[in-house]
Amino acid sequence: MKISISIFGTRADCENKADIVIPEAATLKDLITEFSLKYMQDADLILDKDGNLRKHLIIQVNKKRVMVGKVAEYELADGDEVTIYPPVSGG
Amino acid sequence: MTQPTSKCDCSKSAAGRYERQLPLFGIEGQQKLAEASVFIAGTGGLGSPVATYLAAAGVGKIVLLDCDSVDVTNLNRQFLHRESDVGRKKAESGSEKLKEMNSEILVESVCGLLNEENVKEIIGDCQIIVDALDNDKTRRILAAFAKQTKRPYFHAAVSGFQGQFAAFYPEIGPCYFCAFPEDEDDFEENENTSETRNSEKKKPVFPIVGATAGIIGSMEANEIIKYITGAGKIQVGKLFIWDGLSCIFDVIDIESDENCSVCGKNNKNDGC
Repeated sequence: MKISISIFGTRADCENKADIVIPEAATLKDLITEFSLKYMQDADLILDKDGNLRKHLIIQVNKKRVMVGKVAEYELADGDEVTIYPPVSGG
Repeated sequence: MTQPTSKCDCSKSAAGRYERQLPLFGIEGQQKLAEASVFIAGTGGLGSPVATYLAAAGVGKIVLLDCDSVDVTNLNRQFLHRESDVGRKKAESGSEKLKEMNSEILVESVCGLLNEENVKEIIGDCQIIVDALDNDKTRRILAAFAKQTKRPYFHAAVSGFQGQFAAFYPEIGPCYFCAFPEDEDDFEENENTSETRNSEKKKPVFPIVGATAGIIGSMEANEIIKYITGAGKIQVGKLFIWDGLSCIFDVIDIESDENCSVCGKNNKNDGC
């Protein structure tokens, strides 16, 4: 199945959008991990040193938020649009 | 929460200083601003626009908190401070500018770090709590205190060309911890892995264009003025995220979390 994934407002040193073909049984975590490792120059924006998704990411599928704790069990459907919002904390 | 007795009568100055905003919320709204007290944590990139617009609008009491001193690297965005302020305490420098801008309001400065032990004393009777901070750890102390004492909490954060804003109200909608449920350890780790970490000061620094802080801080001030005066509709359960490179806002719905560690109904601690 084909999924559209993008990163909102991110640094200029990574690609910010891609269409990815993934296996039918792939989860949201699988998708984001693959996108981070294959398409981003700065994967540590998304993944920690153990390869887990960073907890402060905000993730939406088809404009509806999915909490980071649920991504490993979230099953995607063909045509889903995924948006990742990297954390912001400065003032 | 009882509101402090107003010492400010805005009726004399309203026709002059506030003439251009009176059509928006009337003398009643202006008097509400005069009676309001706002605590602003952070007197930097976000604190500058928030404090400036609240002071200019006539908020009767503003308390500025910051533990840092003005550094020359602050001047690209922290417009409350001037070249001549480098080395001075930010809270004092900011307080001085606000008093120059509006002598009719009360402005106080607190130069220090906010923690769980002193948060109650420092915030005192301020009705409204504003997050213009640069770190998640202090945000959580501030947000928890706001929820526990039933005060509105206005959150903002910026980095680079990106920023975010959300308002959390005591009696309606989700709280800060519903939106950002995880602890700060992961967040701080993330910040510290950035190539922008300042190794000398052992404090993470982030790239920022001043206009980003201006946009988000102005949004924060706008919602606070709306909340105080009753103008328009307050934004509940919405996180606004700004991408300055694409010049677009995304709006994310934030839902109340029944398992929230602070306000969730399944939370045994009943933190609220």
